[in-house]
Amino acid sequence: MTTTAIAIKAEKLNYIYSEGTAFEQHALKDVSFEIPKGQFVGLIGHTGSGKSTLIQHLNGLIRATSGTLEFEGENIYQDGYSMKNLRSRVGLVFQYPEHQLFEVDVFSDVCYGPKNMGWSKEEVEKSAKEALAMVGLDKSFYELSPFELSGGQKRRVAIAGVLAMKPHVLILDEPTAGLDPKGRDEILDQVAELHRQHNMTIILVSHSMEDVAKYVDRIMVMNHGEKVFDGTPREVFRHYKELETIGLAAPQVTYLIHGLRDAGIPVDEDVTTIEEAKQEILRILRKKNG
Amino acid sequence: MKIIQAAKLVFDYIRRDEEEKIEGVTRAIDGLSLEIEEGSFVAVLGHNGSGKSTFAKHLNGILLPTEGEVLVAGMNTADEDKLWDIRKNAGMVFQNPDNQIIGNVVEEDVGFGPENIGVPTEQIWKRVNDALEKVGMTAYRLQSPNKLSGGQKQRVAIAGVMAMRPKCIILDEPTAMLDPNGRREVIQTVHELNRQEGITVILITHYMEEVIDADRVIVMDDGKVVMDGTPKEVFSRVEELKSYRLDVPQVTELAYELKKEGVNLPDGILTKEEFLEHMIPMLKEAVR
Repeated sequence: MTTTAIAIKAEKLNYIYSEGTAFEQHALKDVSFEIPKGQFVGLIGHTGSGKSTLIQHLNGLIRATSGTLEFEGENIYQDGYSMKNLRSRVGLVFQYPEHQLFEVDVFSDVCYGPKNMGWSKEEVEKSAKEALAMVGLDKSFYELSPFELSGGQKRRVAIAGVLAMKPHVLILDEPTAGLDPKGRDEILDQVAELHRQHNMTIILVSHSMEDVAKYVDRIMVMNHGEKVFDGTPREVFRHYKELETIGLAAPQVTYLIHGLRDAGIPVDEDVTTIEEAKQEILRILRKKNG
Repeated sequence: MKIIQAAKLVFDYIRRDEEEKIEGVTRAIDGLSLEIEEGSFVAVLGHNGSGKSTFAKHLNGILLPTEGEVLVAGMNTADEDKLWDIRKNAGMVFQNPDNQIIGNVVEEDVGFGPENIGVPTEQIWKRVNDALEKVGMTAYRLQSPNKLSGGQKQRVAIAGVMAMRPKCIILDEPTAMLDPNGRREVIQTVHELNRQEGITVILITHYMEEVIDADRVIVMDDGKVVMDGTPKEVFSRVEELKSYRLDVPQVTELAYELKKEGVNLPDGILTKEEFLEHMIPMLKEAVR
């Protein structure tokens, strides 16, 4: 069973908004990719590049105009495919998900999703407890009103609400927007932990190239509805000049390293994180003595 | 001249139950004293819940002090008769561009403020023209705001504030919802307003890169000012910033990490140029 090793497979996905009207817009153009199970993927692109449209396809909120989409080896557009099942398997955390908290306390809010799936009370509560533990919120939070929490805590409750449905794939649309730097790190560390411990497939939509470089295995870059780059952070950020022309950039360290290279210093140009840059510079400095 | 003077400012958020009995009090600002020079560009940093937005809302009288006082261009925000004057002098731009645009057409939106305070029609148009020009949005004046990008919407929101001819603009995380392009547009625009028009800018942000060109950086924690200085001074204290849940730009962090390993670099490197200027000679020496 080799097919099950692939979490999501998209083939020539096209999506056209308002087809046949004056507002017709080709939002996705022939997008194809395979995401193996357990991969941590970063999805980048400027506003309007098609990333949000793409992720809404992945859990069936939008149906492609043409092309096929498979989830764990099954075509989600075939007759009789359960979209409800798909939506519990592919968890989507929207931007500012804390705006969608509405229950009286944290625990009820996290129970809402699985309850809707028709699970038994025991299953729902067990799953909610596990999900809250996964985002690092202990019992002392269960009875608090979501309004008593900090921005970062609220966001973790919202993520727990999605995790409680036991998804195989977790998609996060800019999970750190509006958080302070520590809050950003905490959320992303938490997500990385889910990836490591539960081998969850993660798709992270982000505007922060620094975050993407630090966490993901693979980056897909969208522009005008097309997938324009797809590779490891090193491979993708090598194209930093092309990325700039489509409104993106590489992490700041990449520019530092290229500045050094331009001055004739033989540093490895594929550096994308602070740690790598530090090691690379120290390696050269210590050559002299070693 | 001081545009903002806050003296021993205290603000409590008070929660009440259905019978109006006090359930709890959260002190968001705790004895803050601060003066801001007219024409300066001041960045305010602080983690979520540090009190920066609460402070910002005191600067045009959206919130009034529980204790202490705030003067804006010499006017006390607690003086109800002065409220309109204060709001003309100190305009606010918020995080979400979609929540602050009301007009169906860009120019209408920008004209809304002056119209509301009874500016004569021909002057409104003059103000709208000027304001759109200053934020570089003249070409979009007849468009629907819905069709604009996030960065463009924020520039329209800034034009709306500029049309009130303020002395001071307070921006509360104006780039949090924008992509890198949009962020750059907005930050450039406010720098131009500061340099060319002499507008005092108070920029609240979580992005350290947006702070390096400010005249002054203020760090808040627990409703107090805990650090206050030039970007160089503040970003030299990496560990202290981290203890306040903040960060430094990547270049500053890298320089700091190298310094810890014994590399001879000065504190508070803020730009790529500075970094390269120090690093290149050392590396050239090493590979010779």
